Amino acid sequence: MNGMLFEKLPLVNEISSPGRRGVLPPSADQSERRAARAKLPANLRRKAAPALPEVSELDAMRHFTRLSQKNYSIDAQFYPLGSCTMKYNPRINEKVAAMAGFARLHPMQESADIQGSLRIFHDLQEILKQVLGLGGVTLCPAAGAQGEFAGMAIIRAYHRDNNTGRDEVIIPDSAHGTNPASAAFAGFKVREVKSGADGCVDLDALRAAINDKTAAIMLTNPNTCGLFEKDIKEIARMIHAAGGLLYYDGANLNAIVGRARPGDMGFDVVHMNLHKTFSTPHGGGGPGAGPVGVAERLINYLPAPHVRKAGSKYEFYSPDRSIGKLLAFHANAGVIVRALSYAMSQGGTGLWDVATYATLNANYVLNNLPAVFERPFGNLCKHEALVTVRRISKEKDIKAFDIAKRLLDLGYHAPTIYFPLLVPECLLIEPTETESKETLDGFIAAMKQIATEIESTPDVLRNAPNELPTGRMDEAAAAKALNVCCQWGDVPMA
Amino acid sequence: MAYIPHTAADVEEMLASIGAKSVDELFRDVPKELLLKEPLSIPAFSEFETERYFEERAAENRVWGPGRNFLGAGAYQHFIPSACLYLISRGEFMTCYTPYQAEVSQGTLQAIFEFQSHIASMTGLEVANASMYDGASALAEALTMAVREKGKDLVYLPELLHPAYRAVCETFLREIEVEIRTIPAAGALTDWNGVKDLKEASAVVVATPNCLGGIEDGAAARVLADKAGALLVACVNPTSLAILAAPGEYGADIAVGESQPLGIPLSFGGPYAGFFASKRSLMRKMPGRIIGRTTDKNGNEGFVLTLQTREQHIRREKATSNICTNQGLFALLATTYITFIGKEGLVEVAETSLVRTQQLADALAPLGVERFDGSPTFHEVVLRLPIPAEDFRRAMKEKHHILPGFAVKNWFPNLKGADNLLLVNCTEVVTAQDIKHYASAASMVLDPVSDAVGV
Repeated sequence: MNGMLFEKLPLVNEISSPGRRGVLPPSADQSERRAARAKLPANLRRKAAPALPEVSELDAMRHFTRLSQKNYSIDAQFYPLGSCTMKYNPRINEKVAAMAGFARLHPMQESADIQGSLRIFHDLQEILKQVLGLGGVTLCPAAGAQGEFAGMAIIRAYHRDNNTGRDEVIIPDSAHGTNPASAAFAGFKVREVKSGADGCVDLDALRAAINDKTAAIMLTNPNTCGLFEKDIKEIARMIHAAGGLLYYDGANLNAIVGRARPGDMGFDVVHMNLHKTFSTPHGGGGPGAGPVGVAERLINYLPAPHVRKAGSKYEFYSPDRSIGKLLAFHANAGVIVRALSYAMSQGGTGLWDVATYATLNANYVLNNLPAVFERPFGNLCKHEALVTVRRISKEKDIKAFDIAKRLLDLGYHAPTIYFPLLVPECLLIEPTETESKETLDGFIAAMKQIATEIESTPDVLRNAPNELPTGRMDEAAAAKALNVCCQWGDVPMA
Repeated sequence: MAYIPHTAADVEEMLASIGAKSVDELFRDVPKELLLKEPLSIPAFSEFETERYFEERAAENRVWGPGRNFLGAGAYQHFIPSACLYLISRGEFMTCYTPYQAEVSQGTLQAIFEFQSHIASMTGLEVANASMYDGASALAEALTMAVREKGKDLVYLPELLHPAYRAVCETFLREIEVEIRTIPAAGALTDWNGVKDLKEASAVVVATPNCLGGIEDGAAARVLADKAGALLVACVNPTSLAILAAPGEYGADIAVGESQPLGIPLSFGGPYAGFFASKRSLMRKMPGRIIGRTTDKNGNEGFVLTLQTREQHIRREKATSNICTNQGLFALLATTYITFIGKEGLVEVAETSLVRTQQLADALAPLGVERFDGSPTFHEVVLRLPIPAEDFRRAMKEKHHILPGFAVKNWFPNLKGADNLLLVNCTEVVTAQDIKHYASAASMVLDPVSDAVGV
């Protein structure tokens, strides 16, 4: 495997040569082109030509192919990142999304000419309504965090319309960082509540946090400790009785998809991550899609455009009290095509199995790791297994960070580390349902090897990765130097 | 059980090692009344049936290929080298996560570092981030960043900013209670002297080319920004930057825009990728992920995510943005496009787009089709037709299978003579022959007698 990871690759500017060409675009005659540019007023023309690559097609192909080989990926490695749901990305989804009828569709075409895509939006909306147990779903948000913003803007609009004067949002300390950030961007004040010793919301702390300013609570369920919030019904009762709404962060929906529904638990607003639960590729950072489901009384606030069926036709419209637009166009439409393809491949029975086997796999890992990986909250989890090396970090000076880096050596992508924040030196392991027992056994064996190395050869961990072309990166130096672009001087325009 | 590898024997062994009798027992922590009794009634399709469903939906869409599509209005059809879409479909790029584990993510990290470098070069600014959702959300984030920097709850947007971009800015600024005021237009250009009662503001925006195709004078926008004590935010088309003044050249503090013209298919509006560049002095207030160059413990050069202390997973409610997932794979697609098309190629694309747009306007002039005004334009121009633009558009589409442009009255119903105004786009994919074809179809549509006999 390591043979695939080439030694240092030059930056593209280092393999550029003046005058070298890659793929030629269609072009007008040079004389026509230069004349047209010369006719533009001088003050509107560019003075210095941007420094951009000048490489051959083959050199460019090798450059990017070799770069790709320096990545770990789901396609090649087990990738148990907690809260990220790195499941298999089926290729049928890619095939259908690339069809010319979708790829060439212009976003400003009229309704009659986009019926196929509108129906896809509508069909996925209907499926997601069933999955969430809620009355309305928008597909507009481009990612989970944008879904959170949209959801919180809906809650703010609801309180504004009802003159409640409520502007505080309660968020547990186990929440994803996007929750407080999104609430703040939607204009709310954030009130953090500590989790209880069992990793779940502490009802007494919650009671103390609720007041006449409480607009909502943002919860992840199962939470980021991988635990189902056992008191969710009481939490819902308390928040609703106080005049607030419940927001569900769907990052961990994979644990219960098709087996339990946020709407039944009392949630009013839910976002989901199609790039997690519905198998669309993470793409090294995106794109995603963050649909938002809402209870009936909030449908009128959904972002624009929303899709509805009118007779036998489908159409976009803007709900009466819409929070407005989130993107220039409609949504990450290509992601929506992929997610519908996945939902259709699964059906209700398949989704039931997704939750079942995701949970089975996580519990198998949780219950088979060596004892140095302590379980802070018992031996039952949902889709992800949270363990901590707090004791070892004190006794042997081995950190979760070291273990993560050593796993890279052993051919596994590391789990999420140092999150959730309430458990020190933790590793959050989310295997997903698409991994086989053999893969999990291999991972467990690697963790056992690491447990042995903690005793026998701790420096192997402290120095890891040892067996990759790239050693441990100096992140502090990066933040100091702030070299974020390659330096090559601009030259005057030809 | 699509994509689930477990055999019955696996399940039995796994449950035994956990100490559970059944998989249902693993859900014992969920209150019984919250568990569904049976699966949802969503039908399952085989791979073959799924593909067929999408074949049918794709056929219900009408698409126009190169040479027949003159609709731009914020999304543009360009030639895309075959290698680009192939490369982003490689599993090593497509199926990895955000590069938090730098040592096994050097491919994505270096590629996006190159993206940042190209964007900085093209905008003429010093630093760029790893992408935003799209051009409009990038602009909204630039405005919130400007408000953080300057502290004034007011921004100025030009009347000729793409209306969808303005709508997105309104959504985001409403919640943090920042007021938006408008810089008026005069014809197809912004009247930089037209703001009455100018107040101190956090940002002045210049959108160029603007939504009517006009190329704005960035230096004049800079003067207005200085008068308002504001940052100048440029919202620009990346193709145009090959030949038009770079935001850095006219003193913009921040430049944002839509990467879609850089090799990203139209795809019904997304996924695209916003780009975001700024002066170095503003870098610590930037939203989103930034990749930095560093060394590993052996002194070898490599790349990591940097300045993460700005971001939501560390700074939480005090973060510079709530963005987490961005549009990484499409920033990578843009990077491959820039690399394969290259420095000279991008100039050719920009110049050819300029040539064809002028040629089309010239070809229609004999038919009584005039330019809306004489402002310099890039690859989009507003034409005044002798008939209502909607009628023209429908006839060109239904009778001649050409998507001829966008009816301006959908955006600016109150503009004088708006009914007859059509916004037309040509890129390098339009040939001289395509323009002749457009003109001959237009002559039939505009001359009903010859159209009726199908001359």
